[in-house]
Amino acid sequence: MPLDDDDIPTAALAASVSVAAGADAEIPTAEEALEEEAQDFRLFATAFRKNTGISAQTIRRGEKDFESHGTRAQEKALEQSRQAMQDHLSYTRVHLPQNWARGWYFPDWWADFTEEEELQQQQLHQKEKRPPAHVRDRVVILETSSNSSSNLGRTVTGQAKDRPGRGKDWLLPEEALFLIERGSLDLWWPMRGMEEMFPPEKQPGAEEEVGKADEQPKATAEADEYEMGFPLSVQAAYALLVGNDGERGKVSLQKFQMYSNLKRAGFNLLRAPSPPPSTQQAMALQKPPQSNTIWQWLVSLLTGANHSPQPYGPLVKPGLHRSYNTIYQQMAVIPRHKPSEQPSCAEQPQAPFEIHYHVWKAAAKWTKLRHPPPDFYISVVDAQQTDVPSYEEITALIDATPYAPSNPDWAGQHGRLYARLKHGHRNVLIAVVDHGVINYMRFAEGAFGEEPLFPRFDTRGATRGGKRGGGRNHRGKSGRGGRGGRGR
Amino acid sequence: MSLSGEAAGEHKLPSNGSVVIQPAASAKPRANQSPSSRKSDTIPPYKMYALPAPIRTFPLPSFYPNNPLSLFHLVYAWLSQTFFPPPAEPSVVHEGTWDPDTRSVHIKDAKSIRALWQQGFFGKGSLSRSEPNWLKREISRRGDAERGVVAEQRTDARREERRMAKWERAKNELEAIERVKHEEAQSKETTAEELANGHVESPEPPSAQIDDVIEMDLPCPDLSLTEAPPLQSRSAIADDIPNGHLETRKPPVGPLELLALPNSLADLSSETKPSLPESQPPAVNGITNGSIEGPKPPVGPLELLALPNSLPFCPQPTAADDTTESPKTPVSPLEPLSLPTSLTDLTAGSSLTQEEPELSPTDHVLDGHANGVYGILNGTCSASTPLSSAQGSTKKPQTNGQVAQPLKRRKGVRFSPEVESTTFQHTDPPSPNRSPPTATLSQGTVAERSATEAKPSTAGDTLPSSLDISVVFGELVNKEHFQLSPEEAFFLVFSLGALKIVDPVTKATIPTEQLLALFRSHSYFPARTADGSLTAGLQPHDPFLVHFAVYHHFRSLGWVPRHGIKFGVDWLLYQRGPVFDHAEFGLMVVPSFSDARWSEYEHEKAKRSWSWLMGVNRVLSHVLKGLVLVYVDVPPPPVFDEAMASGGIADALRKYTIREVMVRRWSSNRNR
Repeated sequence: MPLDDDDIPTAALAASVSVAAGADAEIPTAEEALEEEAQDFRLFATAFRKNTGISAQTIRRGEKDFESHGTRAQEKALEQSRQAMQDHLSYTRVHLPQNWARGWYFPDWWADFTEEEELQQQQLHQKEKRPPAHVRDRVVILETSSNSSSNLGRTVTGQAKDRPGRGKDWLLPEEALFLIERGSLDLWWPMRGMEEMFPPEKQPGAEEEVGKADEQPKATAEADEYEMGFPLSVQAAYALLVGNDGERGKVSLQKFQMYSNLKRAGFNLLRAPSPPPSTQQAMALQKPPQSNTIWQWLVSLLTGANHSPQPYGPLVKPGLHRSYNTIYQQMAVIPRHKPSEQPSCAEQPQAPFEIHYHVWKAAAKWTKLRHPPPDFYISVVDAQQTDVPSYEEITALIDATPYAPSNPDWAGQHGRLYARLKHGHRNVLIAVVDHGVINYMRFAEGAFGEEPLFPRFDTRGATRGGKRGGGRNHRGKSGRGGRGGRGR
Repeated sequence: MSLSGEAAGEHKLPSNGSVVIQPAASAKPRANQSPSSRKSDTIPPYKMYALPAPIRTFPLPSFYPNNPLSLFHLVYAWLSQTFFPPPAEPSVVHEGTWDPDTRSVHIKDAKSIRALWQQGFFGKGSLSRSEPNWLKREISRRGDAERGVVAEQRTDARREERRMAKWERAKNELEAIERVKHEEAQSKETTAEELANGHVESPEPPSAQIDDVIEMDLPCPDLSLTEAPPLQSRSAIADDIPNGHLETRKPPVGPLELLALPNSLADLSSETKPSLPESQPPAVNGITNGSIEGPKPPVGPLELLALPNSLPFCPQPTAADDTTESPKTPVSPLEPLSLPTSLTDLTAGSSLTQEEPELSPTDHVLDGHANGVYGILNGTCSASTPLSSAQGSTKKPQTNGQVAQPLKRRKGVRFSPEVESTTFQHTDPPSPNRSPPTATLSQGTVAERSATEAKPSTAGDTLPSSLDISVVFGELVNKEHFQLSPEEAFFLVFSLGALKIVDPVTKATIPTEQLLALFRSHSYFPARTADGSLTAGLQPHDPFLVHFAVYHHFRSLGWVPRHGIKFGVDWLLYQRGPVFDHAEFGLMVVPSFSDARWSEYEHEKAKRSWSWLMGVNRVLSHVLKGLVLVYVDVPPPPVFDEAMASGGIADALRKYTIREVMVRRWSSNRNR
């Protein structure tokens, strides 16, 4: 079934799924194990035919047929499914010219791009509200701008007019590798210098004119092409672009795997800016020295000032108690964490637990230069080389993310206590990559101290009996039968 | 979780059963509940568990401006409490005994047990999952139906229900598949008729196909036990099945585990074929043998027979005397009886048994039934004895190894369209050789008794409620005590002051300071009590201190932490308590040493691998709980020692920092 070339069914599918899945993004992890299951290809077939988006609900997996019962109906269904899968897979994929681009590998062009320049760039960008560019790491120059230019690559602005290759898009190694793997980019190894291939300004460098810029004009464009350089294989691209963490112009394999995984899932990713130490310290200095609220002061009046507990004696003074509030406040000796908008610790995250990428959900309006604040902050670590972050690492990492309190609709005594607690006040994703298998974990700054339960105790018997905050049993819709309970 | 089943207090014990209470000298009666509410049968749980801690509060009545009388009420309450103050809370200080062997604090006083459990969910019963209701369970198990059900029984019933639902679902699936097959066969037939347009060799009628399936399921032992059709009909059905057909038949239906079951017909026919007596119809013999000697019978009588300590319910006076005196027979013979459907099974079975003398003794089917039923009813026979007695009449005796093979119950769905008994024991029967009755009673005696006394004993035993429990069991002694973990005990002592802990030897109250050192030293194994000085080798990061900091932190916020080893975590966090809700969070405690001074001191490297975290998280998310990593930043020894010197443990606890990190798996598919 030939399809319209403009219509990329998978993209439409992904977009519609994303819209539908946004609603229940908060569903917790019970069903997540099912996510790797194979989809029912017949549903894709209907999507093909009707050319309409199908929602996540219709794509839901049904019952598995584990073995054949020998009925013809089952065989028929299986055959249909196979046919749909074949239809789906045999769809002719074409690489459109506007989706294809050629890139040249110039690893050292920006090597002398100094920190000051970069800082200037960044300040310039901050003025213009442009994200930082990581210029020193950009090693692949795009000959022409392609469709993916709206999401990938950056031009380096502020260059002299006679600089060769001015105005061209430069790709980070992971961006280049991702495009190569998709087949939208040919990586070429240049035989000539930058000046010859992308001469400055005088001739506006179109693809055909690159050849003319050469000293000896060639008879055919083809011979000319290989005079300039030669194409690289995917293997060579991996060899050139994948390296260790911290190598300039390379990307670690784990980061690239995470990058391409999220990119293929439809997310938009940008490298996170490396935090300039000066501003961080300034922020730390600006931080007010823990101004106490009135409530804290009252609490301290009740607990600390009036009542210095016995060294070993009961914290709760024996006597007549009017309410559980006072009883529980007398027990509060261990300091409780109080999240605030200012990060509580001024330490910078240490490698490898630092924020590597900013992640945005798929959105039509997103461009590499103009975008809202990131949806997620992600750190990439290797599962074998690192351990679960320690106290210092995780607090520094979490504090490097902006304050993101839970939905205000959940607040209140009869609000969603568990959802509030689980959401936390800041959160960060850690992609744990184990030999290519990526597991994303969300670490959130919890604050149980913000959710004391004892104020409810005084009104417990009077107002409501029985189960408090019912409905938590409806929440766990475990899709599998069996021992789906939550135990005790 | 049982709520109303907990309503009964200890005073509701039957008159013949006596609860042995070790009275504690200091324990006074709790006054937390009014006597009237305690007398009523069903105290709603929110009343029974009204107090979040073993401390009462005396709130002043509120004043309503539109009701001036409430002012008087307020003044009266205030005055009366001022001039006649109630006893200082906590008014009751419970007494516990430190037990160094189990590293827990034991509480024996029944009132203290109830109080600690109901007021804050501290501790657990030593013989119970959490709530100390062994005695109630025992009484209820022994047949006193009016005692109500306890939580464990409800759990069992719920599991049974779930199993039934699965069974029903699988059966429906099977039937649907069969229907489809039938329709397909019919359509094929019609098309074949149209094509042949003449003499048609009619294929198997469609009803016969369904019958096949039904008969496939016949060997299910509980079916053959409980259903008592006329023998002729049974054998007639069985005669319809040709032997070759059974053997060559392929697995017909969808859930293939049906056929993988050991008692399915395919297995049976292959298994029992070599030993078929020629005189018998093969299918019948297969059924008979299957119901009796199947090595892994999943349901019905054999499991009941194989119950480990079924001896105490023996109606014989001699055997009863033997067994009721031995206190270590907690496993129930009557558990199956209390399950919903098994009583009907019993009566059906007993009627079957009473028919026994009329039938010919060589009738293998009923003989097997009778023995099986007998095994259920008196419950005394171990698994091997009725088996062998039954087999003595039917076929050559089994080898010992076959009997001793543990009857491991397979999980799965079993089919029999006409099953009446749906009671499966979920406990795995242990090896019959290991159960004491097997050791004490010789095979011969049991077989002899089963032969001679089957008729009279079954008549008397059919209704378990007719037995006098006191006669059979003697007096019931509560063997359960209550145990508090060191964290719970220290919280009760140090934070609330509602408990005092006595030394097991000297019976003297241990001061809190010594108690702390004791708990800290015993949080290592072996306990660091070298040289008699308790404080030797103790660190600020003693496991007890770290865990107590976490426990105190959450308790002082109003949460109910309980040990979470059953879910692979350090603590479970309940909002109100295990009676009311499921734990929403599982806590893993991670001690941390962020202070620079820690580099001078020895401390464990708290390195935990990612696979550890993923494993914990995976287990927790399967039970719909959230994982919380609780980082406890431990003060370095100088800071800790200084605080201990100046303000004791109360000050030292202030030096601990606790950060909760909520951990969840993030799925890119769900967050697009």
